[in-house]
Amino acid sequence: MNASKLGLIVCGVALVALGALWHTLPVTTPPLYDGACMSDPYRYLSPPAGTHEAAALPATKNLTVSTTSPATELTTNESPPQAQLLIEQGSIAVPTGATTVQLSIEPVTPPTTLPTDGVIDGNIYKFTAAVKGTVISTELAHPATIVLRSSATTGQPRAIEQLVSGTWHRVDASTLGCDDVHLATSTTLGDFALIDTTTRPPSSGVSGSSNTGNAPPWMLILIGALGVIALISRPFLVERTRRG
Amino acid sequence: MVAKAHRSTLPLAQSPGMLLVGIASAVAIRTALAGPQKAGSLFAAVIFSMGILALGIAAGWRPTWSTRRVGFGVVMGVIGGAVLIAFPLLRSHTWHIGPVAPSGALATWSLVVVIVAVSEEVIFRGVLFNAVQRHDTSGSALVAVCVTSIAFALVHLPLYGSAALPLDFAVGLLLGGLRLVSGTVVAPACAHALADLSMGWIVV
Repeated sequence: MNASKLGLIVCGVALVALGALWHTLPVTTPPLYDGACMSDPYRYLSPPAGTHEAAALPATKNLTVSTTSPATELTTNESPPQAQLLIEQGSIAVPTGATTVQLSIEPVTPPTTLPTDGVIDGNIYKFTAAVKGTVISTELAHPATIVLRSSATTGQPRAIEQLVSGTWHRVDASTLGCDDVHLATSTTLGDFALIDTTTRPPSSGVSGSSNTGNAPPWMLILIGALGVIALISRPFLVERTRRG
Repeated sequence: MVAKAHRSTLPLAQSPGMLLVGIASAVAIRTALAGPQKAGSLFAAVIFSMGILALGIAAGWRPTWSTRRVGFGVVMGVIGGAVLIAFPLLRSHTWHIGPVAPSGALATWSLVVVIVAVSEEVIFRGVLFNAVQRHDTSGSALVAVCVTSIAFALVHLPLYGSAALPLDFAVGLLLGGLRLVSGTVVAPACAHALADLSMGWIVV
């Protein structure tokens, strides 16, 4: 088999694999494949003290979808979006006769009850579903995917928590893409926020950020890598010198 | 720009094992320099690119120009890039086109993205591809495609996590296929650069 024919077959296999993967991946997996990450400055509803305020405030995002439409995604306007909702068909129990449902992601002001295991990172987002302007049950038949972007790429772990009946509950979360996007699945809609669990809330009596970790030993790695490159280059250079 | 290994180099510099060690070292340097910024550090990305290009040059890679082949490579690359960009757009119904950052920042970012994409293609679909094909007794290009795709996926692990692994492997296959069809690294380099650049212009 010649190279061109083999190449076409490989491209075909790759296209099938890419189609299958993109079908199952969340929408925001920045970067698309590779390259340097780039994020808009975080848009705070209420910027914390000492934070340079972004030019624009975060906006509420609404989407009206048919009750029979397939998987739906709703994203806020930033790049990458600060909040996203991915929901499967048939997840929301709508009243009989309803043909459309309005999904909404709204940044909301922090409640009086704050998390006890960390501080809120960014905005709290309220995820709701409504029929004709009336918010309907938050219970979902299938888990929805909630995606939240951190206010900064710090490399520190973040938890996603949901405010239920005045108490914050942690939901399982994982990190995506450029390490500042976190997602979780939930069987209910409601108020969600990213929680920086490495920083104690002020009420706990422990102030300031902790667990900054050690700086990476990049000097050692750099020297080692340069040594390997020099080792690889040496025969080539010697050969050149001989030829010269 | 066609990947070509000169015969004046000794086998050690062209051995797949040594190339993989060199690439791993470059990734370690990028990860260490970037720190928590990871793929957001443009400085670390440039250093990484310079490192793998130096590795390629040490292994005997030189750009060679053949207008016909480069032209065919660009056409194939544009088609491949369009395919890569199309997948996420087909999945999303909320995407729009427009710069995602101020023009100055976007220009710097774009330059770095192109440098990273091209240098990665030179080392993976150029130098390493040729080295594996020469090393493999069967001489089958399929082994070279698989090895370079696996290596391509693995180098992105420290930056984007395991979630990106299958996607980057599949992209590696497509880029390897483009290299085979066109016979030049120009095609995968164009496709890779276009797909990465789209992040600065398309909001999904």
